[in-house]
Amino acid sequence: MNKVFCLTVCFILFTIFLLGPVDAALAADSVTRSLLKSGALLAAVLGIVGISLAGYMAGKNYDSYTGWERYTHGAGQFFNRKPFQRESPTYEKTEQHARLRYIDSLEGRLRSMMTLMMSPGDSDGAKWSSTAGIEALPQPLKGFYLENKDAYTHMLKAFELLRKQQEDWPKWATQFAIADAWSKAMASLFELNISKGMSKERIDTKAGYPPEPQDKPEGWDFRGIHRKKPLPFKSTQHASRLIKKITHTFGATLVGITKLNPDWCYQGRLRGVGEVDYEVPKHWEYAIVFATPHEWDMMFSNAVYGTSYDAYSRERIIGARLEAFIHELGYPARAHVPPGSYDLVTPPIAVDAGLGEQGRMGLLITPELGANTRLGCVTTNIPMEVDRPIDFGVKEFCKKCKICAERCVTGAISHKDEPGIEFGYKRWKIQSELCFQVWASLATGRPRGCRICLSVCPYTRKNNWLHTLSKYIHTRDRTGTTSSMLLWMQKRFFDYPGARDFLPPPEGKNATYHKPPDWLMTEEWFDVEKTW
Amino acid sequence: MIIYSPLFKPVFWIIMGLIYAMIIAGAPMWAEDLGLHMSWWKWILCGLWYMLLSFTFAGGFTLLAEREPGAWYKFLGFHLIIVIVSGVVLCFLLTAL
Repeated sequence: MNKVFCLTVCFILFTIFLLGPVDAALAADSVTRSLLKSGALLAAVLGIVGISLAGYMAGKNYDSYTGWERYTHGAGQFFNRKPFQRESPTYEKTEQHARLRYIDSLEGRLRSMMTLMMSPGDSDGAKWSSTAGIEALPQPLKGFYLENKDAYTHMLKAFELLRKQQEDWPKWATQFAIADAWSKAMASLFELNISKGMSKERIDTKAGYPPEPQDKPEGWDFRGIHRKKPLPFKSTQHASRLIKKITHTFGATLVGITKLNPDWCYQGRLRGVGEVDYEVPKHWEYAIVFATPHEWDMMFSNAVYGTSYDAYSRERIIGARLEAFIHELGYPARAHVPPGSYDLVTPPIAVDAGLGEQGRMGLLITPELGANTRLGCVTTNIPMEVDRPIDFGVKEFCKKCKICAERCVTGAISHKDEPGIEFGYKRWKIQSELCFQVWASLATGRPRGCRICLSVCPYTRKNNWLHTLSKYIHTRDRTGTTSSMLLWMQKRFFDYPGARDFLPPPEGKNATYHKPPDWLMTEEWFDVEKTW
Repeated sequence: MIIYSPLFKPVFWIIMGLIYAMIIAGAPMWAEDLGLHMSWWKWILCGLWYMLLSFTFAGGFTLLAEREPGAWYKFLGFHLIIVIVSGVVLCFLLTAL
């Protein structure tokens, strides 16, 4: 930011100094002078037109959709295919064309050969070996390899190499430890239940991702660890940096690390054990907390066009991958992810980890995403450098804003100026049952949340110059003047539906905070009669 | 969309740079022909006023593109009032001092 500012000032000064003598020379010629004057006048107008266009583009640009940037919207492609379009593909079709058989693909043959030669977990061992020859192979493998004997030889050689690769792996395992752990974490989505030693009977396709704990933390959180000793990090800083980097590659928009405060762990229920009171496991020493936003256009068209599940599913994927990655490094880990797969409450953990502050509506408000922040967490005992909490003025702002409370359909959010005391901590009270009433009242197929409070929060803004500038100034102005000014504009310039308008008719009108994007509007894509 | 073209952004800002250079080149002649006795602080005030005008339009159009139907014209209108008032004050300063 500072560099850009300095460069701009230098450019302007350079232009002035360069243009000064040129101007003087040209000023003598009256025609040139008139041209320059007219040009300057035109340029002054064009400057405003150009800057308006730049502003418009900044507002439209998907790059400002933090966490859902241009490629998730298919807007990053530049190559224009139209001039290259043809009537038929460039491959050539012959008289012998036929439908492809599965056995013609390597995947088809490999799958069958693997089953025959390697059968993991089967007590009867391999069902076929190379000494038995092609004749002993089942159909259609036998038929294929009788016709393609070279392919058979190559396949046998490949299996020899495969065995040697597995024997040699310990030589390289340390060098490629991170790459291997990262790859296995990524593969954990589809290889979750086919790890070594797991019999077919234990494969549970409904296990979820990450699977729900089936054992106490001292067992479940250590499952899949194959190292005798954890891979030691050089330092706590190295551990934090790597874990954060990896968590971002798994899809997290924000990542923070903190020591786990036991107060944030639910008492009375522990996944994998049941409804019990328990001591917080010793290996839940640290919490890696990560955040992703909802898709911005969808989120702004809450309540009825919105969902919580886009961010939830991303949180689950990140949590599962991170859990698998940490296991691969030799440390215990447990993912706590939405919806409901938690043994702890995430917003205060994210506050401890410096991701943001808790707002009036009880949700985490971050500088980057505002209240459009959904959280997941992994507990582990990797010794890591922890982040410090931040104070960017949310509490003071929430005291005077109250927009979320004013727009809450059932008044579940407190209107009080000062936070009360809940569980021994100061915070604004949320009447959760009233919140659930809204979920159960909206025009959706089943209760799937509401999210009006996070949509209307003035901190929930995309990452374009206008909001970034506002955020930059108001978070640094500790007098509160800027935030009061911005709040004044927020309340007068921005249109909000009435709180009860979010309900379906006859009481409400299925109102949305913003007009939904066209990709969420049924009538834009389907031949249906519009009755709403 | 053209705004995502890797070529568009640099070309756009090069053109904007040329436009600003044109304004800087022609402004002293306007000042001279209008009989204004410009000093460095007057130029700075003019620059700031033009920045405020630019901010007003850029901000308004950003909100428009963000699908804030009410906010964009209210923002534009509110700031245009400030621009006009400050413009009148600036004119007074430029001519009187």
